Amino acid sequence: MKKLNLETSELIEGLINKDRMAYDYLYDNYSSKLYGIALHITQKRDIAEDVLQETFIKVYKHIDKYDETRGTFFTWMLNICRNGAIDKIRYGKESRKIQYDSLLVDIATNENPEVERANAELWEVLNKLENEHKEILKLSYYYGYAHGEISEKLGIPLGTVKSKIRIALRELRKIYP
Amino acid sequence: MIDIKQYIESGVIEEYVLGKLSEQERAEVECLSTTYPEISKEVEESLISLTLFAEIGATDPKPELKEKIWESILIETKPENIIKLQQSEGTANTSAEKSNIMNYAVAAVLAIIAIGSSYWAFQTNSQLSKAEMEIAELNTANKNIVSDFTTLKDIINKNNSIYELPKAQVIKLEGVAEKSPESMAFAVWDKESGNVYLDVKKLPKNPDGKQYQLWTISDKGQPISVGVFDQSGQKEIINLGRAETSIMFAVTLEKAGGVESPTMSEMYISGKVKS
Repeated sequence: MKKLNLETSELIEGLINKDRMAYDYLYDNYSSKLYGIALHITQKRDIAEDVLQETFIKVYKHIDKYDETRGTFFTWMLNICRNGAIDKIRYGKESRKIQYDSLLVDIATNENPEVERANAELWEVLNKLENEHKEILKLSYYYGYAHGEISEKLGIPLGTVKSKIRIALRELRKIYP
Repeated sequence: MIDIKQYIESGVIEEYVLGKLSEQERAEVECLSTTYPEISKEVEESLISLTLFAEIGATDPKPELKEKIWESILIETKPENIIKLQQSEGTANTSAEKSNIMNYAVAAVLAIIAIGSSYWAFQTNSQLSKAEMEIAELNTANKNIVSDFTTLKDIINKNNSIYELPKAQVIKLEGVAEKSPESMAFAVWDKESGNVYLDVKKLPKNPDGKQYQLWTISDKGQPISVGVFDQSGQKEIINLGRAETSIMFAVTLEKAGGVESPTMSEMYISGKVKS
């Protein structure tokens, strides 16, 4: 387990004190990554913006719940963001039923150029993976499906889903070190 | 014995990293990752993967969002809660003052009693001869030594009898390096009755309001509480409860009375059960 480094502890102290410099640091370093995740999950710019805002507010409100033994500060934020985005598309007023078939298409709509551009960059990397690995990562990481749901949708056993995800991640680490 | 390879391949680590596990399941992963380097490596790698995903898909939000979010943070975290906290602290002070007054009153009464009884003791003692006093003192000292010795002998006999149980397995629990490297205890697990005894050799005294909790990690990798105890420096082996199966025992410091799942950052000692 990683120890909390000084930089992170300073950042946390700054966030507690509502220090503007700490906010600048947090936003400048992490907002594009968090926004990218929210955008890929929700596929809508305005919802992704809401998710990003709610993520930052949650980080400030629950900073005392961050436990450095359970991962980096960034992965903690990332999970807040991911779960917030998944909640939006599943339970919120913006909830929509994801049609699995639509996910097989490389989402090419001209209605939303920003989303499309983000998708294109992601695809460039993911396309280097084999199809089955690409699909499974997309469903798990970007569309927030639980492993059980993926198993149901793809009609393959749960154990296979889990092992495919593991292999896909390993492959991804090789092509994107 | 837990099959590490199978455990990792179950995908539980990925779910852990994504924050999808229950509190109990999460504690299980953390507990096992302190013992098995393969698991902690897998956790590290999964965290890297998760970060990687975010980096690949990074997209800049529109620039004006930065100020909008900052303003909403300032509004949402307005110090309403802080004011409430200060109010409750104020109440606590008033009651603390009241209890101080009570303490002074009790102390004054005790002082009067103490002075009175000392005077009475002085009067009585002065009536005894010096020899009588010495004999009395020696007798008392002797009785104390005999009593201490008997207690100690009983403890040693009892302790030995536990170690000598026919189906007993002794597990050495060693201090966790980051927490308490000097600490040490032996867990004696009687596989016939399932009873688990703890022979604490070295462990810091538990602070007020906290107790140590002994955990067994079942063969399915699940942490199950065996029982709670205080570390008061006594030499007696304590029977804390039972364990049906175990691949590992560990002791954590928890709030008095114990908790449902172990706090991994408060783990003091642990030891693997050799199969």
